[in-house]
Amino acid sequence: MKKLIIISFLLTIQQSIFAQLGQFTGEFTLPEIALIRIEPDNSDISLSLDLPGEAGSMNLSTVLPTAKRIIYTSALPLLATRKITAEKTYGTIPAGTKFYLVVYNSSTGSGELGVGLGEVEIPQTGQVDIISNIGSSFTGTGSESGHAIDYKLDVTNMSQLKSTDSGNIGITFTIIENI
Amino acid sequence: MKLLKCIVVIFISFACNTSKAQLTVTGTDWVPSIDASSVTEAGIDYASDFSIESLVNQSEMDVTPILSALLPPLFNWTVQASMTSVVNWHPNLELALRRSGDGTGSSLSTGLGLGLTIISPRINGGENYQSLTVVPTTFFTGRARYQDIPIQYKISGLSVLIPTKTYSTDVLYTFIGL
Repeated sequence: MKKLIIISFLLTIQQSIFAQLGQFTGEFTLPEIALIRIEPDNSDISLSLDLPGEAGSMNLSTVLPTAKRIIYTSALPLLATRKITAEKTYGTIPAGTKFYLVVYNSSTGSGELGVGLGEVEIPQTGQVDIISNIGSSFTGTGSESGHAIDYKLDVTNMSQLKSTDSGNIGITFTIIENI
Repeated sequence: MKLLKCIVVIFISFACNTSKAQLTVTGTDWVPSIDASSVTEAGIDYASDFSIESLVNQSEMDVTPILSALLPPLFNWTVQASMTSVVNWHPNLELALRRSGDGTGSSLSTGLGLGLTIISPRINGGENYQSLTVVPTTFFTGRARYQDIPIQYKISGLSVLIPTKTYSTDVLYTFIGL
């Protein structure tokens, strides 16, 4: 009889420990994010060629170092990348000159930061790539964050220059996915 | 006397086969929506304390021990929780859960009619968020019967550096007791 009770008791434990399992499912989607901003702000900048110091000479290039910085946040699927393009969206680049952006790598931030493509000419029409291979990353914010950009103007044809030539141009930066 | 022992054995065996302890979890699956605007400006990640919480009673659990009523020395029980799989999960993501209330406890009577003892309900632990892993860990303990124990979930550890896609996992509850 004792054995019978013990066996029954063991059966009880065997069937009752871990008796029941309950289950619950959680699921969420991390969204794609693409945010871009110009630091310190998107105010106008001015580039002007220096007056010649002496007869027969002229400075044919002017550069405004670190005129702006580009910062961004990018969230993407695995292996996907984005790029940032620049495009002149209004105005005319003065005749006899070329306008460039010099884009550097970001020294701040985290993740798969993009690659600054160095000196890139901004054409009268069309987009050009200035930062490539942006993965999931963020540059950080603040005065030293992001990709520094120099603005550069070169004289390429003196004969087309006019002393009174000046104008405003607008540059638009866009972050887009590589396809 | 032998007849009485036989009745006890038969009763226990019957209880084994028909009245096992039960743990049931009800409620809908949790499918929170994360808005891209959760990252508030360019250049930054999700805030370090960013998290998403479910309803306080996203799940409700009933614990119905039956045999503990027959075996007074063993009437305490434990509920463990774990993630069943991390295949579709990211190691930097953290899923946590907490018991957001006691639910409704009710006493059990024990003693097989040989001297009635009341097991009063008691529930302990699990009030604070605890992270889940694939290793089952104690969520809370108790005794007697409880219904509608509310459970709340929280996801944290979000970062733009984690590849964007749909992540999912199952939470498994294990009842240990009689």
